[in-house]
Amino acid sequence: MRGENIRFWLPVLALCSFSGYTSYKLVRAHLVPTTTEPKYDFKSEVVSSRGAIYDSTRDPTTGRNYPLVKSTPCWEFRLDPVAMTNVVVKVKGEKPRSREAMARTISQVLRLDYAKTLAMCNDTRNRYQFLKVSSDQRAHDVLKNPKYVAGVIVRDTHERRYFEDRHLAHVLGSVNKEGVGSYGIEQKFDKFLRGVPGRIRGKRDGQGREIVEKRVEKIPPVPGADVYLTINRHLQKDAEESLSQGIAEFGAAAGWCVILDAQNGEVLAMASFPDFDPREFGNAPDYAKVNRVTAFTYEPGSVMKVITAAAAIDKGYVRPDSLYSTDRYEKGPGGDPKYYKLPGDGSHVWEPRMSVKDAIVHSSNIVIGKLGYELGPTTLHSYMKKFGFGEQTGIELPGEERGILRAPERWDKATRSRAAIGQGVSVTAIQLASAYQAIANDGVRMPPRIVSKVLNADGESVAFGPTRAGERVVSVKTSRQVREMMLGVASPEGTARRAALRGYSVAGKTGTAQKVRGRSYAPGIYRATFCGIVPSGVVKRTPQDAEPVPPRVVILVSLDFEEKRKFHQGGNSAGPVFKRIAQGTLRRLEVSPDRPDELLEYDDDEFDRIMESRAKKVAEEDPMWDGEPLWTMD
Amino acid sequence: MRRNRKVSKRMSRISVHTMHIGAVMLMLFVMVILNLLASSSCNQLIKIVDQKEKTLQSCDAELERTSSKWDAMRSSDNLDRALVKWGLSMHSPSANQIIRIDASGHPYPGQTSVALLRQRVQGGYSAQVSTPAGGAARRRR
Repeated sequence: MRGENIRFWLPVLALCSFSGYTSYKLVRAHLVPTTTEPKYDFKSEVVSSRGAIYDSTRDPTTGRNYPLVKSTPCWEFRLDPVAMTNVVVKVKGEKPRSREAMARTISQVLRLDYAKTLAMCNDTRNRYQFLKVSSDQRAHDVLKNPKYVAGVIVRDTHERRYFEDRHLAHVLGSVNKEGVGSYGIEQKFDKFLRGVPGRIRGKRDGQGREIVEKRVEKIPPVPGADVYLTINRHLQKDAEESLSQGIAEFGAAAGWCVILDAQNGEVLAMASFPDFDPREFGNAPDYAKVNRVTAFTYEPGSVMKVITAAAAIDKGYVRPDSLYSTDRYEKGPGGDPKYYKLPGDGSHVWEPRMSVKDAIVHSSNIVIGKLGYELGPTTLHSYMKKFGFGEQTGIELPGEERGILRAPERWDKATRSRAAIGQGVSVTAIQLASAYQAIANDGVRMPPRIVSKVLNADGESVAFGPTRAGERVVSVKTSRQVREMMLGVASPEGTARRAALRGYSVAGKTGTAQKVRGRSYAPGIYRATFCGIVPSGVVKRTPQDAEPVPPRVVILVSLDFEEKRKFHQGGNSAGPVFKRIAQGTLRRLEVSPDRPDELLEYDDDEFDRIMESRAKKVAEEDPMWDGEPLWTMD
Repeated sequence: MRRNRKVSKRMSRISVHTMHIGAVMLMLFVMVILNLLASSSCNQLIKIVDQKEKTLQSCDAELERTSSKWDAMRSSDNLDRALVKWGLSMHSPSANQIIRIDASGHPYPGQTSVALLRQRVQGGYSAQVSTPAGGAARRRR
């Protein structure tokens, strides 16, 4: 009986024990995995790929925009010399590889200096030495293979590649070693570009490898959004090359330029020199990091005269043909001076009376100063505000300056005439170009923008900022009258004949502003500017055309001199640079000429010669001309 | 006999219990075995999926690297270098060098480029024909 019981209960017990134990293990393994030893748990972050930055031009074959910056998967190679010694590397039937042989292999596949690599291999005190970041598949395959080398640590990472090298460095900016945007678009749009990192939670074995079947959680990373700029990389390159050539030719210390679309205010190109290499942003000097188009303010000089004239015409105070005395000390009805301390005149053409139009063409300080004085601080200030001075334009770049435009109640009597000619106010280049864009766009100022859209990884558009509508600054009639007045500037009679373009009309204005040193103006040291609208928008291609050819671009060029130079005037230094940039821009944008006759009649050299000879003739006919070479005129 | 009957009764009761318990145990055992088999199969699948995921990742990375390489080759500076290397002097045409034609091959009216071309071919320029609505062009001196 007893024996029968044992025979029955023993297998039952054994089966129960086995089942219980197995169930316990299963439950433990599947349902409560966290109850295992914590040292085998692991949680790691999966780095998300940073978004790319594209320009506005499209590849006709793929229909995609050209990338300017992109994150590329690559490998970071580091060296552990101790592991190199401990692990014997040999192929079956061969001798173990020596440290020298491994150093040679490393230096060959990573294209490093052999002597330096060998020195690193011998430096056993430092066990995590940086070799290189590379996306070379062959280097990865060789250095991961224990047949060839030991002690090389390979880590997956992403490399930020700037395809256009130094071009557009101030706009694109840079990322720091942690992959965080530290300047330019990279900084401003960092929260869109960086994406969301993923996560893996699970267990690893004794050697630290993940046990895939014990993975508890895997959240894939979300790649960063892509930023699309309004920049045209071809225009950008042309502009940078022309500008750097101009800086070298005229001996300037710095220079900057911006090209705006005349209709919608989009930035087509933006260049600033000195520049920097975005991959070496940390090593660049501070003065090179400044984007002089948006983050640098300066007295604009005579380019501001257009704004004063536009305000006076729009307000109905004057017409383009209204005559003003060029007498600086003009007396009023009571015999007292009519104006308070007018600025001296740098105009090379002297006439007892001058129209407003001629005042723009010859850049008369006295006439425009009188206009400003008559307008009064409140009106002039309100127009300057409407043109966008004294406040940020809102362009999508970090560190934008607002300039200095004091409240009208703080203007003294002298400021009335000084602000009118661009003294006593500080502006940024983008503000100036934007103000000219308003004149080009029939009086409607479109806020300048450099980012056209932001698309997430699914291709959906992401809202990145407020939508800003255009604002009417002056009437259509005023803007056309102002552009007509400006036509004469880039002509033999004007201050910028060297900015004239064969086949296209240019409405522009020069500015030669004295630089401030300490509390006064430094004699002979200037900042030259030329801002032009091409085509001018007031010239019909043929007399039979109903409408003139509309303006296409606004181009501003400034050269900053630190020393006295021969060609320091806006018309003679910034003007030729403008001309080069405009020629390239019009060619790239395939803008039809509005003066086709000039194309048929002259070639480029002939056109330049005629402009020079006509300018000389104009100067010789001027009774005030003292025989000075033409380049001194502005 | 009586005792035997008692035993047999008890034995039959035990055997019924045994059968029940045995059936439950067997079921449990089978379930455990099935679970183990399924678990093992799942683990295999997980490993395969992981391997495939890694392959996909590496392929994506390779694609990215290749496209980056291609993008770098097409950068403005590299294109310029390539042009210089092969002795090609190329630049974009100006607007007066572009002739736009329709599907039938005829140039669109009012193109300066056409006027220029005709001027060169015929040795003269007729603005009436070529420029929009006949622009007043001066004769080349």
